[in-house]
Amino acid sequence: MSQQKQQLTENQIIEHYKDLKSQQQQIISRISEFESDVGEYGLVINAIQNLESNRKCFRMVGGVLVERTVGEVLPQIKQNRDGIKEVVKKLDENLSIKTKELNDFVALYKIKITSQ
Amino acid sequence: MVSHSHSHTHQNQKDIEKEKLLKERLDSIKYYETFINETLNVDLNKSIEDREKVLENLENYLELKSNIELLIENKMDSMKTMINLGSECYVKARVQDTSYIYVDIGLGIHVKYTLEEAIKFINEKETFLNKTVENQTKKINQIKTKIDLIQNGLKELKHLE
Repeated sequence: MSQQKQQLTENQIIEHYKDLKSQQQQIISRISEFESDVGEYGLVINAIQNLESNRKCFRMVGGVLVERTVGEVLPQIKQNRDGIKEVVKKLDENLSIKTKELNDFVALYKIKITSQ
Repeated sequence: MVSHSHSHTHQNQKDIEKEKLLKERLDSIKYYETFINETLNVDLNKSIEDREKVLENLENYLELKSNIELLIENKMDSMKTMINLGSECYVKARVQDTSYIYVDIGLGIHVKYTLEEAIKFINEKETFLNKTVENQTKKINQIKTKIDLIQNGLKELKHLE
């Protein structure tokens, strides 16, 4: 009888489970935050993409309003939004990995959650 | 003699188990109380704070919208107003042309809009903000439910002592 992992005490199993659960929850929380940001970016992009490129606008940079045109600002905002979408995609992958890790751990030690 | 000794040992074993159960119960109570205070209440307060900010933002846009509608209804091509320079120091200001205004559309962007364009945007922003508030309210209620659930559990645990 060879054990792949070292034998864990009951308390260690419980603590490890709580730790994994907590990490999973954090990832979910961060994903919902970023998705909310994407929503705001979408709103801003919709607000200006039908305007003529030379329409004047200002952008807050380090607490100072800097004059720009819509044609300059729109590509930058789209780039930022796409960057955030990439981050969300990455977090989704992390969530899948963490969820699998958690499920494997539950299966390995036959953990049952009372009143879940 | 032997019977008495056996009975004595049995009683000790019982006491030890009872003490162990009590310790586990106290540990559980402590853990969940800490969880409520350090995690759930923190999340709850932050969520309520976030929702307050969104509601304030929404209120500002609605005020702007009614001001714009006032400009349109009264066909005010120009207008006079008072500008707060700070420290409650005001100066008279005259807006020569009200056909364009700058609107903060989010993410630090202020764009030059006609009055009609501004109202159209504010309506969309209003929808977005209302949905955000709705989601945040849902989240707040979920956290409150969780707290109530755990507190009821704690009450039962404490009652067992």
